[in-house]
Amino acid sequence: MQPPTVPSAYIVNAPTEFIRQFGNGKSQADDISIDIHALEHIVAGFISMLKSYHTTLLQLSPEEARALIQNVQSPLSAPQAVIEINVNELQSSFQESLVALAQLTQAVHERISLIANRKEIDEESADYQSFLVDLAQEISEKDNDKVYGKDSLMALFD
Amino acid sequence: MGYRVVNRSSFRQDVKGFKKQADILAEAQQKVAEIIENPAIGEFLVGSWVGFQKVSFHNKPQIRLIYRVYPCCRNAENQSEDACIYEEEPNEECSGLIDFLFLKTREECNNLYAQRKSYSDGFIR
Repeated sequence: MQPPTVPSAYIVNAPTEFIRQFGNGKSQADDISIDIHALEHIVAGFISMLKSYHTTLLQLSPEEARALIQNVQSPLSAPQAVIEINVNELQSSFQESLVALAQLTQAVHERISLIANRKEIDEESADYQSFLVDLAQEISEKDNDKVYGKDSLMALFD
Repeated sequence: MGYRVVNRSSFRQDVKGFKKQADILAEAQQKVAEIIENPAIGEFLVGSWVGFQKVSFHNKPQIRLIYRVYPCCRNAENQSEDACIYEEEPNEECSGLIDFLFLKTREECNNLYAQRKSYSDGFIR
């Protein structure tokens, strides 16, 4: 199994690098001097990376997700630990970015767990087929914001 | 006689979700064009259940396109399902209608199924 290359590698290395660059070797509890703009750049990178990671997860099988958990579960939680320690000391705009990062990290956790713990789905089962029909039926009945015409439909793809 | 087509906000939203995946969009566009040309190409979701059809394409992720065909609608301009007769073929008095419902990845379908979520509940793509 090949785990997603860039995201997982980045997650593994990020917390250590985060502390090394901005903590100057001090422990996280020390009163460290922080370059807010540089941190914002780092966090924006994190968020972008996690979004990409999230998209990648949609393509994983349960087996791949389970393997991924074993590989990166611990490092995945590390960025969140750093955030919890430092968030009260930082500027408000940056705090918002960190909160977004924390939420996204949590969403990635949940997505991996969901995929890994999911039972194999029998897509040929009558129950599954019935679910799809129900889903389509729901759209058919509730979504009345319709647009008619082939041209308008094909224009969606341009 | 050709089929008229309709799409809904949910379908438009689904298409938007693939804006950054040009290869998938191109395949989807091709499939939609093929369906409009020949609505019978889709697999019926339930054997004897006339209506919803599925076309799957792409790999990693597999994409599912669900649509519904009304073979004969007497007033397709002012469409109401009540005006559609399922058994008949399009003719001079009525025209067929293809209702495109959703375009989702296999995982999205399965996650919705696993969680028993409504399509409108919202989920992270």
